[in-house]
Amino acid sequence: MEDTPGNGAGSMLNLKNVTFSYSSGSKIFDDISINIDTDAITAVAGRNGTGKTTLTRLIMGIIHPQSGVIEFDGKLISDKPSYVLAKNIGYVFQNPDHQLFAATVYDEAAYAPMQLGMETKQIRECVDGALAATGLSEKAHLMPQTLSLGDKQRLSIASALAAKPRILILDEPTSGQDCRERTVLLRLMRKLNSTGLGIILVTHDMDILAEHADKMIVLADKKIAYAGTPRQLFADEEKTVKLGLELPEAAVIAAEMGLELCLTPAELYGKMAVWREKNA
Amino acid sequence: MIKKAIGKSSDLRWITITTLLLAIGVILRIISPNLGGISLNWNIVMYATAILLCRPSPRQGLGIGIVSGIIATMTSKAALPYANLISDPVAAFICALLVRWCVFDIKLGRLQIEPLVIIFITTFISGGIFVTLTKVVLSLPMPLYLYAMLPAVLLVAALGSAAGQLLYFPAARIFNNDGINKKAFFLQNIDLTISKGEFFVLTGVNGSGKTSLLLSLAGAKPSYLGGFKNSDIHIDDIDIVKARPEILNNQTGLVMADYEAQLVTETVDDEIAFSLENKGMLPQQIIEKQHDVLKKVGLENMGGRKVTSLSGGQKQRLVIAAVLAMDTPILALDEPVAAVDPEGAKEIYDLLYRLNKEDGKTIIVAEHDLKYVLDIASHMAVIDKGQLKFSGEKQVCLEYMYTNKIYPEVIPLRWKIRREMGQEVC
Repeated sequence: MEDTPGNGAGSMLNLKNVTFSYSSGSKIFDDISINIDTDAITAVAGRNGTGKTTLTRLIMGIIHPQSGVIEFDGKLISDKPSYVLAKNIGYVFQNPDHQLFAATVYDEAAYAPMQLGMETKQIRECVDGALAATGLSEKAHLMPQTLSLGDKQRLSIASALAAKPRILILDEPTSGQDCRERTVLLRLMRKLNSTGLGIILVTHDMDILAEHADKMIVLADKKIAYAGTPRQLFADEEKTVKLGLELPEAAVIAAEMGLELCLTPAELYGKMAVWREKNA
Repeated sequence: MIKKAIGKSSDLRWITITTLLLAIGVILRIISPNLGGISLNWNIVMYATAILLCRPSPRQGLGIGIVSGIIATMTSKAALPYANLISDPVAAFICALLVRWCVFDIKLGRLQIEPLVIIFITTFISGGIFVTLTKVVLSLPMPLYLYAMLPAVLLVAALGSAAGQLLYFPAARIFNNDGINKKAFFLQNIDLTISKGEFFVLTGVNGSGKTSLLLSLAGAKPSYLGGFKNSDIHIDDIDIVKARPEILNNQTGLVMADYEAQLVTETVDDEIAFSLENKGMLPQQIIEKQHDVLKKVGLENMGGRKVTSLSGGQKQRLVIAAVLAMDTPILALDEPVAAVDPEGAKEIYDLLYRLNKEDGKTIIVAEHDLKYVLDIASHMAVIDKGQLKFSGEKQVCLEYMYTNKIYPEVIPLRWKIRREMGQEVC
């Protein structure tokens, strides 16, 4: 695994010297450059208000940088409108209720392919594929508003998948979900990533980030304050805290027990077994 | 805020139900057969049923009576129709009083017979006043009054109460359910006691009934939606299922999961003032209160800020401050940190901890992430598919969940490791 995301050949999304501010306010980003490897699951973290959502909007082309460029696969995208980019970049809102509006689950997933002007047969293939991937095939005829929160969130993902994007941006996908729904969703995220879909995961939850992200970007003070692997950052507790993040729970417990850095409960249990043998 | 929403909704509810039932009453009265000069007084049956369903204030009851009196005067074929203008308002007023005080909230076996008794009394009072006025004004002979008119009133009252009792249950099903005809009640056989000063956490998967139970405890659900059968919820000696919203508001402060829905004003100060103004507090006292509660939640000097300019955590704390301003002994919060970043979440739980320890508030939290509450909660309950699986002291509840594998995913990693390796390891 690389230390800096996207230095390798698989790198596809590049931000170069990007500066951005909303018309009313001060700068959100001041001359940031980052390469995002779209083969991986890349997490975006940082305090509230550091520009996590703004970064995703820039990538989607909803807003455009005042200076600097964004490239996808070597092609300039920062001058293109969002509907052109929609084919390649899917976005899932934090609150699924903000994006569900069709009468049935099937229609919901079919919306994006229809807007992209696909043929009927192709639409059906895309929607069936997306619903199968998210485990919603059985519920295709139901009304989205009657689904559970976990199902709604998966439907949001299915709607994005139906357009066959190459990158999927998930903004706090587990917010409000209980442990069970969260596990199902994260498993789905990994499965999608293993089929070649790049994932950009915006999250506050360091436990999820530590367990599932290959790489992470931390935003602070209008800059990219950290880009690298989660393990490298969490090894430096002082820096983690300074960036407004907390260590994953497994890491905190491991530290209290005097064990080496652990990122996940499974890793902690593994090290604990060794520790127990030693202390027995 | 919450109070207003509830008040407004119940305003519409009692007016709608009463109007509908009165209209039906008029039609039934016109078309029902008249046997030997005696016919069922559907007007009275209907407004008494409306009062039983809506439990309005006595003043509202008087209003219902006046409307019914006017209708009866215009449609009556009696010798002195204007007597209705006095008999109906008086009877409806007394009816509302009796219902409000739950004087006849009695059961015959499992059958609730309050409608029978209330409608009988109401009809008798209304009819009694009506015939007495008729006798006096038209100077009718005493024997006619004693041996014909009064017994007729008794007979009409008996008929009316029987009809009303039969009518009450379908009417209650239609008007007192939340519009959805559920085959079974969602929350079932829940026996739960939360003592004063506890920091109580209610946990369970999404859809298990956490929010429903929390809203029921706070009184919002019975008051707002109804649909509670054979239920008995008390805060001290206040009957939550029947209490009026303004009484509930003095007991429990409620912070909903979607806290944005609770923010109604433009500035932080106004948000605190809103409920206090509605309560009728003096401006000087409101200013002092604003200062106190904003300081308590760490938003001092932010009174002039626009609510929209606050972060998620700050908004959440503002809602808590607005609820604190009401000085309720109980605070109920539905997933208070679900939409807040980790720093904000810690701040909110620190605040709740202090409110519990220093101010002695009883805190009830519905939560499915126990990481933050593990070390501060005193008691816990776990709910699954509308049934309470366990409630009690936190450690005992977690132990129960762990050994019986009830929603074990939610048990914090730290607790599991302490359980497996000993308390002292972490």
